[in-house]
Amino acid sequence: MTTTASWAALAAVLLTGCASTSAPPGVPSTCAPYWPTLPDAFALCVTRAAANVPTRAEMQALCAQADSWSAECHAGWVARQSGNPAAVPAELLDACAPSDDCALQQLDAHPDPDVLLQVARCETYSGAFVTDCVAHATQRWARAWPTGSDTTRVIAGTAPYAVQVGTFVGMVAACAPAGPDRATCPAGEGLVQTACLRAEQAYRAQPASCGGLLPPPQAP
Amino acid sequence: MTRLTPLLVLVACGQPADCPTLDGLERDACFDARVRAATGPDTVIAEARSIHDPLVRDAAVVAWVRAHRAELRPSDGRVCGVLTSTEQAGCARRLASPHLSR
Repeated sequence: MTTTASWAALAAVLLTGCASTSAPPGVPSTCAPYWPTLPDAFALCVTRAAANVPTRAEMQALCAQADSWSAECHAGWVARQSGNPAAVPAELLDACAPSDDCALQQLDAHPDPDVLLQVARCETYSGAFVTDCVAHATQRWARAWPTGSDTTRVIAGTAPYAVQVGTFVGMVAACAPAGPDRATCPAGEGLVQTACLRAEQAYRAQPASCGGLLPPPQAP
Repeated sequence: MTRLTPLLVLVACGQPADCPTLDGLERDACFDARVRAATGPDTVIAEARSIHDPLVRDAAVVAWVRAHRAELRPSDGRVCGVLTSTEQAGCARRLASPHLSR
């Protein structure tokens, strides 16, 4: 509950002699008893109701009444809609705001096949969790055993995330099977090189740690 | 302001803050204020168990976890046990996910 809304709720009670005041229009009648004395219960009630409405517009109208629960409200609707085969992932991602956590979950569930485009989507949608989103994207990319040339392309396009990208390139350099275009840590000095070499050394020292990165055994 | 609202309303309306003597939502609002003022999971659990309306209880505990998540450890997850099943998974995830604890 924002400060303004809370003061408004208190003022409403004082001005009406402690009689109940009307809940905002459009909210379910089951939520009305909580207004205005139990603002979080009211918001949770609205949030639960919003999860069950069929359209984004209806959800937004209800979630607008959820005040400080607005992020949970949007996330709850998106989570419910995620089970709907007709739901469009891009639209669900767009409906997450203001929930950065909801966006992170949607981005992880439906990543773009191009890691650079996924990083761009992380920057657009995942807000406070952009670093987590980029790390998840880079880890997925590393698990596909990128080539040296693709590694060069990705390093060039992800400068703000040099530590995350460098770390996963180092893992690939240490753990990926030998090949003609094998990824290696880039030459030079900088964050990405330092992170890459550090990770490469760590994985070479403990090859068992590569297990999570190894592809499934090939069928004979 | 949030955690004080129910208590202020009770005071403003001339109600005593002796929660067990109250009825209905007034009683729950009183315990809701106690949950918000709690300094640790055990107090939250004890006060929340006195809230009759599950929705009020869920809202109070989730709000407390949200306000204190940076201080909570995964071992404090027992606080999620007083929630209904609807909120338990989200509460546990909130405590277990590093990005949600920052």
